[in-house]
Amino acid sequence: MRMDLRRFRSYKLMPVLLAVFFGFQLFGIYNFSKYADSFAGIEFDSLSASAFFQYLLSQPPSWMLIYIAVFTVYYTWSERSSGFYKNYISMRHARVSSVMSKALVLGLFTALLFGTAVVANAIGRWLFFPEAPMGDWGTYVKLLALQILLHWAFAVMLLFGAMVSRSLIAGLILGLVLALNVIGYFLSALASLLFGDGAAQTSWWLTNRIMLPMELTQSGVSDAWHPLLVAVVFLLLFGAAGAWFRQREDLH
Amino acid sequence: MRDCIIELQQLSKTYREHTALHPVDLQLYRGEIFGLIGRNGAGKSTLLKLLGGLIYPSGGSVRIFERSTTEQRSLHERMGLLVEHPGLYPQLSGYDNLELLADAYGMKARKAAIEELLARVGLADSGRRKVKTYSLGMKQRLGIALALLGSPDVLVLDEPINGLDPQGIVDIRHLLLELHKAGMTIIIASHILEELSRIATRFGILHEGRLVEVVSREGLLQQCESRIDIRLDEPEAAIPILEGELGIRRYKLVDRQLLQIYDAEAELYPIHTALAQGGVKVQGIVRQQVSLEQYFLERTGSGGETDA
Repeated sequence: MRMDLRRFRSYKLMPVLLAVFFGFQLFGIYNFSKYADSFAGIEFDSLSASAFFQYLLSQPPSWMLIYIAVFTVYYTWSERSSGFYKNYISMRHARVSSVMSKALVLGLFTALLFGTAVVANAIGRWLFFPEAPMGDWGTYVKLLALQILLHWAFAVMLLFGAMVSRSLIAGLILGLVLALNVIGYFLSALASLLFGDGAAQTSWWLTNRIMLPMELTQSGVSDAWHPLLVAVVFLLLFGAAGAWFRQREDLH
Repeated sequence: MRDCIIELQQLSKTYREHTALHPVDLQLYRGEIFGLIGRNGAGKSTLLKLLGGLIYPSGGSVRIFERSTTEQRSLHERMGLLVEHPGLYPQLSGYDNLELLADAYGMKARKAAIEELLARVGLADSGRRKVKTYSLGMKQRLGIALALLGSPDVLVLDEPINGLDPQGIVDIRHLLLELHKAGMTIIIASHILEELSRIATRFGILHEGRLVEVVSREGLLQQCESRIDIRLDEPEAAIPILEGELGIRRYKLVDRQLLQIYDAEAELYPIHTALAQGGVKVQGIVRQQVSLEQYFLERTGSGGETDA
């Protein structure tokens, strides 16, 4: 874990992605204020911090997912292409530990990305929508916690995808396909055909769940069970799949 | 009695339809430098990766210190690996690469250990430079330093002198001999025979995934030494003449018709003359010189000519 943390700290792609994301996030909020008429029915001035964040997350394509996909695939493949794993992989429990530590680093990057988004949103709203209300802090924190967990689960799912894919390019393509929610749209279309419009089954697919607005109330956690369950199931499922795969993989 | 620390029992590796390594039985002993010779694609890297635990065997087992790695995977960590090319992060310095690995080992007093290793491989002055600025030889040396960081019992090196300039080759050779002197067991694969013959104490020849021969350094040198082959009807009758008249002591009676002389000073004509005068009928006398290359080619079924 310490090895991956040290590498994460010195990984130059990380601050670059965060800085670019910060810049585009501010630019996006500026566009909301400049071309407010294009977003029919949305009163940005009256949106709370959590409603504003929900709105951003539900807009396809999800830029946060794309940034996470790029980071996950490059971070995973940089070790693979350098061959550094050969130096330690014969150590006790190294195969499983390397997957777990990477999953934790991806969680850290996800949290940093959300931190950057929170700061960028706060600055952007303060600059371009000074009248916008903060709203309930508890709801905002709950939304952030759930979305961080869901996005982290997405990163871990892609970590498994990047390990299984045989090249960096294949990993990136897979990452973009997942981040653009192609599978989610396909599943939604399929569910509509099978069960009729508005079928709720596809909300169990991770990226659909990420993009679906959450109806969070100020108190209690009953409204958080569904996203929480989706996040935990995907985290555990793909974390275990990654460890299982690495444990059996021939490392060339 | 030699101390066997690694034993391969019917070890094999198959990738779908392709057999990269046919069942191999081999014992490796403490303190030796075992040279694995073979062409590209002969199965050297596959064998080393199996030894290092990077890939899993399709059959057979690796036993390290008398315990099977199938039951105890962690035995592989007793080896320092440099397989194919060194695994390095080019954007980090040599020191930082070592420090990353020190994290994985959970080393406490790492600074002194890393600096000592850098000095040992001749990178004391360039340890803080980014690896992407290193020459190939420097990268190889850093790769060896990484392999040595965990104080392994066995060092496994795959083509460590590939692509190096003559000075780089000499540096790596000195380093390996120094490690050997300190008691390190080294397994080294290469297709550069001349270089391998300078350091290895025992050799294994791999060809098309099969271990075709294991030979000691002495055995190999004897095979490749300049010698005189004499074909005789009665070789026993020649011995008193060789010893008494010509003072030749280094010879071997190979069979009932062939006698080999390993005396570098011996000349064909005086031997032939002395034997003829002594009444020994010589059917043929010829000087043989087998180069390492020929020796290897003959064993891998690739032809090769014998100088007469």
